[in-house]
Amino acid sequence: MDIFRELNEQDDDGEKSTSLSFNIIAGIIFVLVSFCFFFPCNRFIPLDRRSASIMGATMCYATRSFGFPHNKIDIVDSVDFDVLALLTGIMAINFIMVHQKESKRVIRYVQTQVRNHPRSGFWIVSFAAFIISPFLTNDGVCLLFVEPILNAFETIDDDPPKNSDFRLTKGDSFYFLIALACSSNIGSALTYTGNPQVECSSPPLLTSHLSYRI
Amino acid sequence: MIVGGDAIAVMSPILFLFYMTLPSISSFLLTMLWVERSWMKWRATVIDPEKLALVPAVPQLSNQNMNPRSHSKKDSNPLALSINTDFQPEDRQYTGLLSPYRADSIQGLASPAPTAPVPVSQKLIRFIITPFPYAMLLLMAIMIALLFVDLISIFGLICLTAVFMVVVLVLGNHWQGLPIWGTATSNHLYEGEEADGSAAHKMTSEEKIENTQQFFEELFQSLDYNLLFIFLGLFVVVENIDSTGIPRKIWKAIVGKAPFDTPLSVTSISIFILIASQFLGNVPVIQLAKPNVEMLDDDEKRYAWAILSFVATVGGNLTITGSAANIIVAEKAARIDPSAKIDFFRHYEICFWITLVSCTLGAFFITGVITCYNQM
Repeated sequence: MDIFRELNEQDDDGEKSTSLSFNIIAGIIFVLVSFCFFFPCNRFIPLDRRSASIMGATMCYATRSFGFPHNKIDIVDSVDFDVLALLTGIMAINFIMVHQKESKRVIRYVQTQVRNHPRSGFWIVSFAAFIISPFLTNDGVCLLFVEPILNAFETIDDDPPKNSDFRLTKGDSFYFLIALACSSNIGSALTYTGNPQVECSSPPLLTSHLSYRI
Repeated sequence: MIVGGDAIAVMSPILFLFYMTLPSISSFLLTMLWVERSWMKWRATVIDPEKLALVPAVPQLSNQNMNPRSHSKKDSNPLALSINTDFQPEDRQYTGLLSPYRADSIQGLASPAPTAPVPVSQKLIRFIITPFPYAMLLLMAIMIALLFVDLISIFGLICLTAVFMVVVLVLGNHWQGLPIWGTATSNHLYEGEEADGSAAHKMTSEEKIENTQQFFEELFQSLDYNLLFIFLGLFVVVENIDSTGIPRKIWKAIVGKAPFDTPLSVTSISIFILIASQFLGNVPVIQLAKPNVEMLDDDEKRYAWAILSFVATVGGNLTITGSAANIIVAEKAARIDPSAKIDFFRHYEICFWITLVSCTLGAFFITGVITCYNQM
């Protein structure tokens, strides 16, 4: 049973090393979850991303709690609640904004552009995502834009635009979504605040800048 | 930007923006032109305009089936789509929140019906409440733009904005005795008038409570809990693999303690960051690179952080799991309309190579901009 012995020894860089068996099990869980993330609902592991993610987390917790008690995981510490709060806040703002009359008019305008002039609609959507994402984060922009874009395609098969020679189909929505994701990711590279994932791990921005100046 | 405070210690936000503008704009244009080209290519190969025009009408919506797994090839084949020339929007019940064919949309948003006289006090309150969400958004954007985010992080700022919006809408409308949550026929928030344009009636206390409950029910239903669960689980799994030390060992084996001093080391570090961030996410990967950057002097640090942050952020487009934004789009799209499902291979086909080119080009631009700036 030597393989299950926890080493917890310090390596050359002073970091704790974990046992081989723990590494193997953690690696397997990670590979399985990654596989499901790349290919959700595949024929080998028919789980969607949500189920794979939750099952992976449960397996991590179970293996560490029962198999490797010395490496017990602190779930609260490992979850980045800032990011979850950010996403929830953006969803709430989104809910309020899309129900405003004026927002609806803007959305309706973009949807009309997408339906009647798809190529210019494509560039409007991409450019808007690129410009807004440095401020509202790339995740926020995607949350905000996906539904209006897909709703523009909702009736496209039943009621195609009359005055357009560019006949849009539902399959075209894929390219709008890809453009949205890509442009928001690229736009978020412009500022420190564009990508939320690591923001929390950094010290306050202005304070750092001032301390550097001083 | 994912490098946050470490980078800002050596590079002001304005300088960072200056370094990133040219690479970002060029990457944006390049990527969008490529996506548009792929789109046109797809249309040319898949869609035959003549056949499309002759397809008989089949009055059925493919998005009625909400099971993502039952997505059939027929749904994605544009030739199978129907054109119903006798279509009337009123014929169907469209459920999309922002659908152009919702009941209120068909009736028209701004009905030119006569309005009953509204007291001045109510007009004043309405004047404050109606543009409030926009004002809050604008304020938030200005605060972020001015980089006052150290007073409160961007997470706090967005949450606070959301809470303020909700509180002002609820309290403001209740003070007037008017509904927050529109009427049965209008799904937009209160604007002081019914769907027919007449002034809304004042509510009783019971009606206020009921209306508030309805508002909050709708608000909480609008939150995408699936997405939150995905991230919740993902954080634990990534932390678990990170705690094994395997990523650090791989990093040391590949990069070691190499500084950003030769084109080869910059390339190798960037490639590692690009690949590793597809699996681990960009946070742990940037953390891995930190020790390598910390040993550099300020000029080199600026260059290293600029390259790393650009590659890690734009590299998110490489595969579908490369960034949280991709996952959000894919998941939301699959739930709203299964026919708009984004799978790994279609994403790869369009985004993989162009992202590699964008990252390379961006790295060249950053190198050029920083070199020119340092010589000035």
